[in-house]
Amino acid sequence: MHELSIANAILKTIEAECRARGGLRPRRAGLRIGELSSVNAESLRFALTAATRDTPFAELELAIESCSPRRLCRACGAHYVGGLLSACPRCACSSADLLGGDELEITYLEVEDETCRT
Amino acid sequence: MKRVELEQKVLSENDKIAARLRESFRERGILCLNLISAPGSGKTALLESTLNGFASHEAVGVLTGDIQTDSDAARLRRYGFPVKQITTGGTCHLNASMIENALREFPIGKIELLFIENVGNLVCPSSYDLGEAAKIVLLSVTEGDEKPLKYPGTFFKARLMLVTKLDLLPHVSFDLGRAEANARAVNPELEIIHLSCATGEGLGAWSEWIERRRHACGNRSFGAETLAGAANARPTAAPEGIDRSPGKPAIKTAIS
Ligand SMILES: Nc1nc2c(ncn2[C@@H]2O[C@H](COP(=O)(O)OP(=O)(O)OP(=O)(O)O)[C@@H](O)[C@H]2O)c(=O)[nH]1
Ligand SMILES: [Mg+2]
Ligand SMILES: [Zn+2]
Repeated sequence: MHELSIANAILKTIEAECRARGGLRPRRAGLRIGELSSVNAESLRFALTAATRDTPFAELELAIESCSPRRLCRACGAHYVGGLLSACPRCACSSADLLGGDELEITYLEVEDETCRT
Repeated sequence: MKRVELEQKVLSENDKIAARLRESFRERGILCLNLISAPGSGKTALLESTLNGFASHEAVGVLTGDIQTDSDAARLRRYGFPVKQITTGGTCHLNASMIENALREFPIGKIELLFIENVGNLVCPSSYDLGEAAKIVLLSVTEGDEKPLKYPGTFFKARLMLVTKLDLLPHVSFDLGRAEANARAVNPELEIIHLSCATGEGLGAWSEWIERRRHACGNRSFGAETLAGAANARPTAAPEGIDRSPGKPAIKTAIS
């Protein structure tokens, strides 16, 4: 369910970007999915395939890059990689801000050289 | 083939609308609270008890989200406050645009305290900012005390955890201490209140929590320091008895 609405949001963004840049034809989209984004890469692929069927984006390939949670310790200021249950490796404090790892981003598009308006 | 760098957040549209909502809540001095839990943890029951505690002149409203039916809204309308059902038609969470649309047909000008009951789901709703001042997660004792570890995202983003259905504690193997420890392992700053809508236990602490937040957000002469102070104030974890005498609302107005 969730992946389907994410898939639609992704398509909407790609469509708008392509239109704004004069009718680009995307072949490949780079996605960055944080481990804490609650989005499963395989379900998202599946949802995007379903959502693009019989559309100009049917052939769109996905390059999914996943990324780990990055945190900043509130006690000692250390930066570390670790999930929401991890403690600071330097001072063992478990109170930390999340600097990244919940991303859900379209990083780039690879487009055909020749543009066309759809 | 040509590469175009985008670096676009997929939910940037949602974040934009949420920022707009948050600004408009701030301008109007509205406290907006987003209630999140698994299906059936008692969000509607809590809102019923809460609305029941308010005097009829209070400026309270509820938006309630469900995949189908408006039965929650029907339950909540009986208390005489504005209530609007948002049916998502399959979507497992509310998003900011649904809130913005719903508010177009809502007497928001008369509201100081807006509750949003999210779709029953412990995963997805926490990814969607609705412009709320705080996310509140409900965990019923029948769900198991390990839930904060299984669904850390929601507990991480919540400011307050309500452990609900406390009256059922004797019948289940839920360990309050363990639930708290698990929740604080994910979010050390999380505030926690235990309550039961069946017996009224803990509803007083819940009212006080709301009252403090209302005070902090509704009165603009309050500085940032006071706001932070209100955010950090911890309700006592010890369950409280019901403090509702007949005719006296359990939840008093913070701003007169
Ligand atoms: N014993 C007991 N039952 C409760 C309590 N609060 C809620 N319930 C029961 O739990 C069930 C679900 O409560 P709801 O308030 O509908 O839960 P909800 O979170 O709104 O459910 P959804 O909107 O479907 O996600 C109902 O049968 C309630 O009567 C409580 O404090 N004690
Ligand atoms: Mg409900
Ligand atoms: Zn540290």
